[in-house]
Amino acid sequence: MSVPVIQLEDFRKTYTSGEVQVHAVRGVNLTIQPGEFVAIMGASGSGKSTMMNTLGCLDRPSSGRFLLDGVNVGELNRDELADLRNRKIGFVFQGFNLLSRTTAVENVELPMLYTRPAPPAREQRERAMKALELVGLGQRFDHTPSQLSGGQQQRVAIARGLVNQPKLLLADEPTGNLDSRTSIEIMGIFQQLNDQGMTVAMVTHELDIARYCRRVVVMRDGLIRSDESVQDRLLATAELARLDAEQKAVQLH
Amino acid sequence: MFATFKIALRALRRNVLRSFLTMLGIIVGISAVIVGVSMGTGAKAEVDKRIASMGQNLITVRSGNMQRGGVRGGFGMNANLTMEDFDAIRREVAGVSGISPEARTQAQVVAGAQNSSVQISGVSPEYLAVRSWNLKAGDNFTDADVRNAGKVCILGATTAKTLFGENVDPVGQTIRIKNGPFTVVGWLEAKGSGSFGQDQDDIILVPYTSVMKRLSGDTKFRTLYVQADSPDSIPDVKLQMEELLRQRHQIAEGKDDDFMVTTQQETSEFFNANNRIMTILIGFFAGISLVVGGIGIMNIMLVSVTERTREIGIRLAVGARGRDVLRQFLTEAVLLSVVGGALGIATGYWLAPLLTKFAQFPTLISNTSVIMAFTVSAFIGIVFGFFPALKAANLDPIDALRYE
Repeated sequence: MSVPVIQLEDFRKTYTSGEVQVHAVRGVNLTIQPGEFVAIMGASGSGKSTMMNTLGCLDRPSSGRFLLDGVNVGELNRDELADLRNRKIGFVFQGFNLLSRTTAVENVELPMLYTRPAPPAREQRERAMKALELVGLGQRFDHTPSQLSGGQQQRVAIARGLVNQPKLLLADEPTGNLDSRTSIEIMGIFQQLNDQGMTVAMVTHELDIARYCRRVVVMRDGLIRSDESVQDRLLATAELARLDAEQKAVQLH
Repeated sequence: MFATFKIALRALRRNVLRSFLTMLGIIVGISAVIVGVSMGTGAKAEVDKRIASMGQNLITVRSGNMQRGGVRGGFGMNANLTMEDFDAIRREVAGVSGISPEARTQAQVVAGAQNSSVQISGVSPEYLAVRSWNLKAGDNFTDADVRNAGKVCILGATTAKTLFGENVDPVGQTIRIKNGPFTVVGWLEAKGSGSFGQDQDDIILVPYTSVMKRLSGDTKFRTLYVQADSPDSIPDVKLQMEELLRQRHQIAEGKDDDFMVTTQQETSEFFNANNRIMTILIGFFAGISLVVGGIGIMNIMLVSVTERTREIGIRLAVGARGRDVLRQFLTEAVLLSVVGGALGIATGYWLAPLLTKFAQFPTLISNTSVIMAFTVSAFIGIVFGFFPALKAANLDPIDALRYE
């Protein structure tokens, strides 16, 4: 069997806020295998953001073990965490988090600036262009974020997440700032990437978005309450076709 | 490294006005340093030039002393250097290539309808060589003129102009000094003002014997000018003369000299002491303005770090290490200060000649001061950029990403 991408064993996270100890996550076991497409759901305060920060190697567990692609994250220092994020994780955020006044292709190149050793400039440009083409934005490589729509910005962010060929694409409410149609398009990209073998984990609170994934983990009060595979999975291509047909019927187009 | 530089340049270009205002502190500071140091250097160069124009490897022996028995007297207050002293130095001191006494007197000089009160210097023929005078026309007087107390004279440029008019060769004319006729045998090239600012060219040179016998009646000298044969032999010649004169003047061990031997270097040090104080003062104030400029950079960099917290968060999230962020902000600060420094140097190059032109203050920009100013500005960027950069590098990526 291959090495799990994510392996959490009795993961706990405790914050100290003033004199009070906040137990954000209170003992979670979770394994994500390569090629999975997992949605982590939960209301605010359920511990899903803490999960997200930990899975993204932005934070370390207070106790328990977290192995990312077989590497024990709890033993790493700040610089080693940064290198791990750089090589093994692609981030997609709710607010896109692109550098403003920087072109799409330069935004996609950003992670490679911090890869050690950094690839030569020409290779960086080639890889960034390839990633942009993969998300359908090859033509708009020289646009800055302000010249792009929300959906296009999120595609740039996904391309940035992909450019270093990570083990895990980690998305935090990736459709939170998008309208419903664009949301489906973005989910379509995730499905397409997942079909090609990319492991995807995303945090969302929208049920219909979670239905595009293969597996849904529900959290409440710092614990996993359910962990099931999606039965009636939605396919973005089919949903988009249905939407187009409906809109045609009311002569929107 | 090049990528870091490009990012820094872009960040600064994003806010041109702010970057410029931030640099202004450094520009003012560095240009003040450049101009200030150029004033010091220029003044020193001017003094050195004037002192060099007094003669090469010149050693001056003056009668009297600054201080004797608690009574303060000036240089040459009472003449006590004798003809024998002069001969003894000429005979016994090694390393002397020229020597001339000077017997001075102020006298009324008449040429035709013109008359003027001029300083008459009674000297030997070696005087021209010793004091670096060049003849524009005519000849030097001779040893025979000295023996005979000859009625011959050499005119300085200003005196010639006063007596005979501009650009008129006075050689061969006769002037009357204290009613005695003197033939003009030589005409000196102009030298300009001396180290005290006096006009060195308003002068008449005659054989010293002529001054002593015909004009002043003095029997002793106040000044002897001695030229050493090389710069290296100056200290030795000075020592020999001091010993010789102490012996001749019968000055007991532990008593003060009744004469004073001064080398050009000592004269130069005397005049340049003031310049040095001035340079230090200007440097001090320029240094303060540089520190203020550095604080300006630190202030703006802190603002910039706060403004760009989210950007820092993104960079950290995609794998930038703390030191990558540190390097980025440090590069920005250094770029600000170095560009400011370069502009300051340019401003200094522009201001210094203006100062010379409009305030008649001599200035000289030295390469050392330019290199120093540039290094200092880079150093300021590093010192004052470090704290903001460290603050950026130590941000927590989660907090930074959440920052609005």
